[in-house]
Amino acid sequence: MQMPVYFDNAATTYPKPPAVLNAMQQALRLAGGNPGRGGHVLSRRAGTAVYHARETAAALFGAEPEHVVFTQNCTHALNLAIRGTLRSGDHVIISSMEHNSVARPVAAMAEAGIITYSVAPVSADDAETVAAFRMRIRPNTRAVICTLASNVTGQILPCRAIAALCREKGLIFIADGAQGCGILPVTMQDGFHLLCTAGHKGLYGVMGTGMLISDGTVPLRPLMQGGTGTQSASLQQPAELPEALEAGTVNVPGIAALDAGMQWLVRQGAARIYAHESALCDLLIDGLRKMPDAEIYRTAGAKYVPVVSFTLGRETPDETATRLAAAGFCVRAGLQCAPLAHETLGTAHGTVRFSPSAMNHPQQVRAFLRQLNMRRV
Amino acid sequence: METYFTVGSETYAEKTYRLLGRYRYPYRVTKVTGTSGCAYRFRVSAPADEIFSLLTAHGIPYQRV
Repeated sequence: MQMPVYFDNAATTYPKPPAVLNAMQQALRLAGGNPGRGGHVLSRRAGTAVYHARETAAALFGAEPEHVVFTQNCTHALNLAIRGTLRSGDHVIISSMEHNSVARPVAAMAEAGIITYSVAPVSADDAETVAAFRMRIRPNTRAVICTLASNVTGQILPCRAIAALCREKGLIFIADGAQGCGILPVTMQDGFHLLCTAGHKGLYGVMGTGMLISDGTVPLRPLMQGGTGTQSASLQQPAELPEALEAGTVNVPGIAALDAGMQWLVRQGAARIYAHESALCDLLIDGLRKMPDAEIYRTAGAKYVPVVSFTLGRETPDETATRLAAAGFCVRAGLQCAPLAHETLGTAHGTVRFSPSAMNHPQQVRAFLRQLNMRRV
Repeated sequence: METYFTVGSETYAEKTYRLLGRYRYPYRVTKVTGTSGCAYRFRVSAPADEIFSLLTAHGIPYQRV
């Protein structure tokens, strides 16, 4: 079976490094107990594997291991952060480039009459973007929620400056790191209170994993209550992280795989991968620029993670993606779950999103461009 | 000289293992069911004030036994 060429890594990275597959298999074979639930060897091994992953994440993101909460995905982490911090009467500011993982929980809380929110437009000029957040701060503003990078265009938002603004104004800063973690040099020392990330994208773990990383200063209400293996005689959920937010059995094989993914990333060097992927994006952009009806959604002066959104003349993004899929190329077309971003871009029918990973190479991009050009034959 | 204490959270128990290992304190740990539920019971071959200072300095919630 011929494997397709995968350029949809902003959705999830594929293929995974062999170390990730091995770690998952090893966890299933050798650490099959339920962590924290027993004193026996298999439970202890599972507990050690989970804690090791916390240590790896803590070292990568400049946090304490106990402030690393494992979640199902980034959306889960964001819901924990958003619903866990916002209270009745609060106002929150989000950016115009947010994914539905931020926009929907915020909109749902607003619809329920719990909170109000404002949307700060993102500009190519970072100072303008920060000013847009600043001018929307109200006396009851409690938090700012902002993606590190747009999942549609890849534009990098000035999160360090926004974090500084939040610290200055005493606001909680929740960062959506789904498209930035593992790609940008992000740490909690950048000023985040809560950093949410997927485990299966730039960190090269597997689907079904994510993390909420806290700086330890923001109390969070849990979304779920349940067994934690600790303080079992109490009917109250433990207050300490991470167990406070990890009710029920955690995904040990997935967490072990995520640990291996993060270690692989550190060994390879995130900066090196970033440079490699950016070069692939540049190659694509050079090719697209030679097509007179190609529109590339990038703005001069803005900075980007390795993602390119484009459209081709009258061909809809769906038609382009379908044509590419028939030729064995995987890309994401449509709204990419980010209607706010598309409203900002004026792309009602969406775009075609190209997102390479460390596993792609230039020959694949050249073949991709040849396929794009074939529509004219 | 033995010091006994319990740690309720598995995460903090893991942190404790590593901490005691790093400072080369000989220890044994068993999972026990106490009045508040499951916990990890540590026995460390070192003076209590030394161990409890270490745990406190690293933010590990523990209970003396």
